[in-house]
Amino acid sequence: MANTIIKFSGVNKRYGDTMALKQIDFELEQGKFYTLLGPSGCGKTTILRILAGFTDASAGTIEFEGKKINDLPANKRKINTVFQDYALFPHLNVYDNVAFGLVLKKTAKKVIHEKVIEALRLVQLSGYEEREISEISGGQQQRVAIARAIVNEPEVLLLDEPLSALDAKLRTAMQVELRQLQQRLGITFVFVTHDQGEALAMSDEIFVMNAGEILQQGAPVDIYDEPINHFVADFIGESNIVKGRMLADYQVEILGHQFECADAGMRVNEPVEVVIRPEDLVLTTVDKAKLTVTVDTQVFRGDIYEIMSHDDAGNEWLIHSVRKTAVGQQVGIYFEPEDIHVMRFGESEEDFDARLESYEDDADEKV
Amino acid sequence: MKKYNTFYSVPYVLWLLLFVIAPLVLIVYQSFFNINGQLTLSNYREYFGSGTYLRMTFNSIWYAFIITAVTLLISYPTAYWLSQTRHKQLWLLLIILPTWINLLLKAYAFIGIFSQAGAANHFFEFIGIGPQQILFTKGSFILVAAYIEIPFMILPIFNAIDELNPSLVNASRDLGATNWQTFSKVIFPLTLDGVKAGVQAVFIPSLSLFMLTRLIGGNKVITLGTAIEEHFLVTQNWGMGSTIGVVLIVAMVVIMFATGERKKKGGQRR
Ligand SMILES: Nc1ncnc2c1ncn2[C@@H]1O[C@H](COP(=O)(O)OP(=O)(O)O)[C@@H](O)[C@H]1O
Ligand SMILES: [Mg+2]
Repeated sequence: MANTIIKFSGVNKRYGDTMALKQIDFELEQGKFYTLLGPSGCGKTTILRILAGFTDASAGTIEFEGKKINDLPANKRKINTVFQDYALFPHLNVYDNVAFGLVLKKTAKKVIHEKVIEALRLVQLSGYEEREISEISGGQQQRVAIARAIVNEPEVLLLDEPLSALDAKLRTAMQVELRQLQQRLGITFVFVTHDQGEALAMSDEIFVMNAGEILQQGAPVDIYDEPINHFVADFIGESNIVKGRMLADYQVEILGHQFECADAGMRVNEPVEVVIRPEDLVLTTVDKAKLTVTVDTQVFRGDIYEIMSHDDAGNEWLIHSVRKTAVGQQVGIYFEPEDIHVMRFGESEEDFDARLESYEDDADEKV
Repeated sequence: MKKYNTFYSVPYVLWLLLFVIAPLVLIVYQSFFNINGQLTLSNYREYFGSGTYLRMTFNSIWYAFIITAVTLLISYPTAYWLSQTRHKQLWLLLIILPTWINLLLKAYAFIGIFSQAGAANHFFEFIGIGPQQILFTKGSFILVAAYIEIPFMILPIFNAIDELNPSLVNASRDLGATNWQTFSKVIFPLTLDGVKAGVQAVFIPSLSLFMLTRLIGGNKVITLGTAIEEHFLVTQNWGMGSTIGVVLIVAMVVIMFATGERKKKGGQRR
């Protein structure tokens, strides 16, 4: 990678007996929007703290622009943080909070003034300079926290679940604003969230984490379409996951039926898991169906009907349909071979990528 | 509901009337009588007219100031260190423990330690300085007074530091502040209320210390506390004693307002 800005090699972090991070390796490129996504307690904040310099890694190296920074104190790093709880200074007003970093650098008063005004304009808080922190709302505090960080023109901005305290509407608006801000500034963002929708909407690249490990890294679409395992599939959006068996390349057996699929490179008769997204399932009549299910519940969501159903083997199927059906009715479901995604048990991300590459090349040659 | 609330406040109100309001009224009342029981303003005239009383007032304030300063200098770093340690509740208990022991007992213990044949002089002999006069000096008075007051200073400061959100310290470092800048720009301003509370808790009682001035200070230090005691117990001039008491109470109220919390209106301007 040409302009790698941050590199973690073999980083782990131990708190007493708990391993908060196990063997973290990744590289971040300059100017991209990265998201660390995972459930609470999986180690997202710990990665940010190590990046910012608030805590040391127990092992491994952290590089910034090619130089090892393990021992560089936080105040010397060209990295700024937007804290989960904002951490605004309660004894200073909005202006002085934003100016804090510049004052420390002994910037000229006039320059400070210009930059603070500009930063507040960027986060749409012009005119709030003289307000006390206790006098502004949670959403405004969050934007002050962003302004306070970006006014220092960092190379990397770390954001720890900055939107989690906001209501749904403001949150969606801020997602768009943050993404635009990142593109305008052209700096690297490392954004932490446990909300998969947020991650999919904002990121260039997502790291899905669980229990101190990065399970999968990739563009939102890739992770959504080709999750590496049950956990990722389940965490990234709603999905139907059933047990299956690989009969041959591009042939998988589910619930006693054989289906054509888009996956290959596995052993014959290998037990696997199969993911089908609810929006890929189409309601049809029983005679045209690939599978037959009985409808349990149906909820209208405005744009779609959310239908819960079960098959004869007792597997649950979630279907997103634009057409409605009736509770208790037997319906057929139909899907295309590309809608089936096959996952192997215990496959590492490296092997997964290699396998995908091998048969995707095959497919290209066939065309 | 309302009725019950007033009912529960009865003991407190009674207490307040009997032991706070009544003595205050009595002191103010007494201060207008001279030693022969005549109503007069002469006590106040004498207080503000004589060099002796004014010098004593200055002495009281000066020593209370030194004691407070010494206590603060020792207590702030201690409280900060305490807040960072693992077993802070245990350490805190060890610091509070001496306050449960009677003041007189502690004073006598120090007399034992500082006396001619005491432990301190044994130590001085051992390191070759030879025995010194420690007891009945201003230094020993300040030392023992500070020793007694330190827990009352540490406690409010410790609480303020302990309540400080640790991510504020991280935020300060994140924005480029050195350790010292983080202390002076974030930690200290945000724990100032604890410092004020501690100064109040130490300075005000220190104004009227009198047991220690005699037992440890050997009357080398004469404060208003000593004077009050003399007037009530020795010269039996209750009027003059009360006058000094009134002056002390007024001084305390002034200090309480000066160090008390003021609601900040808007931002302070550059
Ligand atoms: N200071 C600490 N002391 C002990 N354990 C900690 C500390 N900080 C975090 N942990 C543990 O490390 C793990 C990861 O925490 P964290 O990075 O905060 O997770 P996340 O931000 O993903 O919710 C958790 O199990 C947490 O309990
Ligand atoms: Mg966290």
